[in-house]
Amino acid sequence: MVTCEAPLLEVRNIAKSYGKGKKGKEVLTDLNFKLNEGEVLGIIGESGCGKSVLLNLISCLEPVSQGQMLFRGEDYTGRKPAYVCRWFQVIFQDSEAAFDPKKTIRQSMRENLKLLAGDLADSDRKIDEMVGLMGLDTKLADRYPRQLSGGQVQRMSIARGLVTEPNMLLCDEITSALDVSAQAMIMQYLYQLRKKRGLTMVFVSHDLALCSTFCDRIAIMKEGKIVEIGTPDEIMDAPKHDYTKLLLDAVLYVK
Amino acid sequence: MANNLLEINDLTVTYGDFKIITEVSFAMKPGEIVCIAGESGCGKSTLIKAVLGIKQLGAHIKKGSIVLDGRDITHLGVEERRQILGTQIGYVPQNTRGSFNNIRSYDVQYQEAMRSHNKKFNRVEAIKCFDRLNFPDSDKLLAYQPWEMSGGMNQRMAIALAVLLGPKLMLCDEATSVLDVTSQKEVIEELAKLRNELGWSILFITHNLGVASHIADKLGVMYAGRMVEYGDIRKVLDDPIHPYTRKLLAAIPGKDRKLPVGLEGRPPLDGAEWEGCNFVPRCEYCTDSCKTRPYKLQEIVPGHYASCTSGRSV
Repeated sequence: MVTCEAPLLEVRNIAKSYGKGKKGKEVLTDLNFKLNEGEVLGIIGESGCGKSVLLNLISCLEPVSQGQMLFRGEDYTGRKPAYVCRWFQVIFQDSEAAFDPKKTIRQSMRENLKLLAGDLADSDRKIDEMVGLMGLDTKLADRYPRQLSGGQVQRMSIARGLVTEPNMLLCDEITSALDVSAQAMIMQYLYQLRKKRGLTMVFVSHDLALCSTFCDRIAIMKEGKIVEIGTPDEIMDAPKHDYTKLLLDAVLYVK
Repeated sequence: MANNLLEINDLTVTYGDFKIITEVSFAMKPGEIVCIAGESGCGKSTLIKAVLGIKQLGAHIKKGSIVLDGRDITHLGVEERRQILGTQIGYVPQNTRGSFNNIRSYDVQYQEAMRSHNKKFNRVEAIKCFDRLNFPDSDKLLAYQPWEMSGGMNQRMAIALAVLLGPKLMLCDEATSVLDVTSQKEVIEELAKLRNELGWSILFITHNLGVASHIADKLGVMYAGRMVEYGDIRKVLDDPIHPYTRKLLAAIPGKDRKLPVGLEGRPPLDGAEWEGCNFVPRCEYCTDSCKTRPYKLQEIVPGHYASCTSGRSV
């Protein structure tokens, strides 16, 4: 069983550029990393460094310009999003926009199940279980997105991602638009999910302090390159790259 | 009390029937930086808008007064208000992309802004001001157009313009929330520097207590339209009295790399009249008397006010 030995996700030398020739701009250069089963990788960087593009590439929402991506050793570069969405579910920053405003949360979730699992047998039980796992009352699933608070909608969108039992969650700045208290709630439920289900995650954020509380490894990105990757202790206590030091210096802790 | 720069007394603001701010009072001395923190929807931005003049936005000041430098500005007319905005009260919004025209140079837009406030625009002075704020390439900045700038730089250009107009009081509404951590730190340092050099007073609205702890002298915590705690920043952060303030502090990822602790539920945002404390549904210490006792900000320790002391560890 060679495939079991392979990491869940491997990214080899991927690059992405927009435009061609002189007008072209390379936004990601030569990225390499591996992600093992059950691991949480934090990706930190400033606006425009290419963090979101990286997630789009991994989930095949955009084609790569160069390089390979492997899922358990299987090369899936150039596949359609519909092919990989049973493995990866992406959660975006603005979840209210990700739900159909004219459908209840439950109806939106059923659609996911119909597309990915094919049948709706047992759908209510699955939805209730996931909504409960995110610490929400199952009655809330029968509401419309606008009837929930920002933090609740975000937790619903995580529940929707999990309903189809993906191998991995790709989180793109999921707490950036929220209050600290709602953010802390989401982090707690994500932490419990990890403990209960061993979920693998890529957690994109610009908040180094937050990532250091939650991730197994943190990658620091600058201008389309990963400049440093390591455990939170390595990054926070002994940063090697100058840019990491700059970022660490700019974190404003409550004195 | 003529030595207070800004006094807000018993202010109540409504949008239609919705009560957004309920009986908020505090005072700012010249040269002070006051931060107001709280969740979205707690009325922090409305508070700033009340000082700026809120009638055009459809809100109504039902009760209370706002006094700037001894002068009551609560119900000023449009023309009178225009004379104090900019020159006496400066304002930096959260997103300054909308404050500048994207495709005209800063030079032209600075000139226009100064002229509309009956002030002369002096390029040399503007560049001096950029230098004082440590902007890179200060002599070329005015020739740029906003679309050529990063969000952080644009924000700083807006601050510089406010500085040139020379107000006594600066209002910042989440002025650093859209910025990256590195630009956020720079802007915070610039604001602190301005205060030290020019004796500015800043009313700073933020939901980030980390930012507040780095620049503020005083901190006010708002919850669902009420000021639940107010006092010297060190006293509030070191010894938070109100249960909500403690919850807010626990939700911030700290240096110890422990998972932050959240707060379940949402604040009552329906504008309903609350009898007693409006934090009751989310409070772990609440008793029956909390539901009926009227809201009142009390001085617990000298210079440190709170509306509730339940569960405080002494």
